[in-house]
Amino acid sequence: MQTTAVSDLISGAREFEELFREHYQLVYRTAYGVTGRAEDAEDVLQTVFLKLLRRGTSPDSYNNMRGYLYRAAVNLSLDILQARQHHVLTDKDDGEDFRPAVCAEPYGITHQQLSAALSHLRPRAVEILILRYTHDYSDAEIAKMLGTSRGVIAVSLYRTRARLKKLLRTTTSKLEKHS
Amino acid sequence: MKRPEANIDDVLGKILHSTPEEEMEAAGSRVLQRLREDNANLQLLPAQSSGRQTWKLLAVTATIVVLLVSAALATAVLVRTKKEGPPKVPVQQGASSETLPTPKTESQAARGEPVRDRKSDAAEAKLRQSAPASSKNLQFEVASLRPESSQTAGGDEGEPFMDCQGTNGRVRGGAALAPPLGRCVGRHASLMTLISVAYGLDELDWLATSKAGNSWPAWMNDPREHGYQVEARAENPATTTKEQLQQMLQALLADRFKLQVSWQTGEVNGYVLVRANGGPKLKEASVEEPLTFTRKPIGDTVLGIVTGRASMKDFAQFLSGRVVLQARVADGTNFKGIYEINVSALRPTPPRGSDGAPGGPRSGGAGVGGPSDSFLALQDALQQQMGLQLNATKIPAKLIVIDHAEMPPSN
Repeated sequence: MQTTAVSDLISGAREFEELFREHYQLVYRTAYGVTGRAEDAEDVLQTVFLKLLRRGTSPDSYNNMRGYLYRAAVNLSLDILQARQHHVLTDKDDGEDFRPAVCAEPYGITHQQLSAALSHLRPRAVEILILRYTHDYSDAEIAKMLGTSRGVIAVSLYRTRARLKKLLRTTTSKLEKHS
Repeated sequence: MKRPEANIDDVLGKILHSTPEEEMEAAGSRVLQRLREDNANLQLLPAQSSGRQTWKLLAVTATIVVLLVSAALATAVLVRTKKEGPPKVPVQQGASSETLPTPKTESQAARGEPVRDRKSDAAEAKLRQSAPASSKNLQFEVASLRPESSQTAGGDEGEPFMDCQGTNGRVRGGAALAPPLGRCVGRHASLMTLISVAYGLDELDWLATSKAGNSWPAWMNDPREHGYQVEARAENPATTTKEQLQQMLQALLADRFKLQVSWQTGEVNGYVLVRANGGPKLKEASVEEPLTFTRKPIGDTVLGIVTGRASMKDFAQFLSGRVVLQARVADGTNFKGIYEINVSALRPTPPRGSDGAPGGPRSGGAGVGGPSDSFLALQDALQQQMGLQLNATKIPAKLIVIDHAEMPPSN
């Protein structure tokens, strides 16, 4: 019998499409939440599933496909943020390179400014934040998904919010100074 | 306007919850289309085709050639039939043979149906022989089985699991998400785990086999240092049953581990569920409902509750393997109907690490030492609430004997 390494467990086109349809909203919402731009979210969506198509998945991924895709989306989105971090902190690019993703700007904060702040956080903190605010999971649900306790999630969210406050204060003051 | 940082919760709620739905749908369609194109390109790459696929291509080509030749021959025979009358085929009768006209051939020819002759029959037989996945020797189309110790996994020590997903269900379980159809997937799976899945054994089978005096080398049950990563796919995932996947896994183990097993039947310690003194206290039900077990901590005690609607046979089966018993339970009630099952047993919380220690029944037999508190609590609950009891007895069991197994080469 031929024993060949299998890297293409998701080989069936129909199967792959089913997988895509089941999870693409999770990936897109996550990417949009982090990057704040539809173009970036689409890039992330394509990259995540293209990797899956070309490289296949490990058995670990099968164990938790949703978790795997979610983490991949967060990490790729953060990579994009890192790449454009220095642009976002200035407002002269708004309307040129960076179209505001959110028309309503609650309390004068744009999605880009929030994204810039997110880029300073650890991936794990961003994962928790997006699960909480973009996907509306409760602390208990997030704890279950990430295999930790509810208390850890609550503390992490508290710290992340505090850090974001600080980061946004810096961002807005820079903008005010610039204007 | 309030300072933004004062309303961080609102800011996050509004901004992070603002995904444009229509744009997302459109992006999803676009990306899917691009992925389809990419997938098509990938499938055209020669590097993607394995040697087996090349052989498959050759086989398909050969099949088409055989079919064309058969069709040509059939046409020739049809022409001859029209000219010379019905063809004659040999009929074997004991040692002698004679030629008789084929009764249906004429009408078939008259209807314009293809006429069969020996050559086309032979061609069909050849096709049957070359059909994939004969039931006698099922094998995976592709399979990877690699050693995966705590060192090679690079610190990645997830829970061991081994799962196969067939068209009629899953074998074993352990993974949160079932593998795709027609595939077997495992991580950190010991040889014992692989054998369990391949032969449909559960812990009680191993326990019974072990108690019967069989022992195995330590490496066979050491998922951390001698675990294996398994990824295997059937040739036709959409039509492969879990039983066929098990046969394929058996073949894989025989190939890689040189595994040879045999079966014995014997008797092992167990329990039989019977009527208690005072008669049964059962209420009949019309429909079955899956049995469930729930635990509710109440102070220093734990309330274990079994509920559902089931036959006594299923109830006995459900009790089999419960931590408190650690032995098979056979039905000895002779009740044929479906009954309401509602048993709750209160027992003290066992000290950490001692839960599950099997205790023998009151009358002795199964287990070592005296009956555990858990067993006594269950026994009392069964007697008082259902009018049933568990008696220790010897029950028949199948025992698997590993005649030979080798560690596969590291590569």
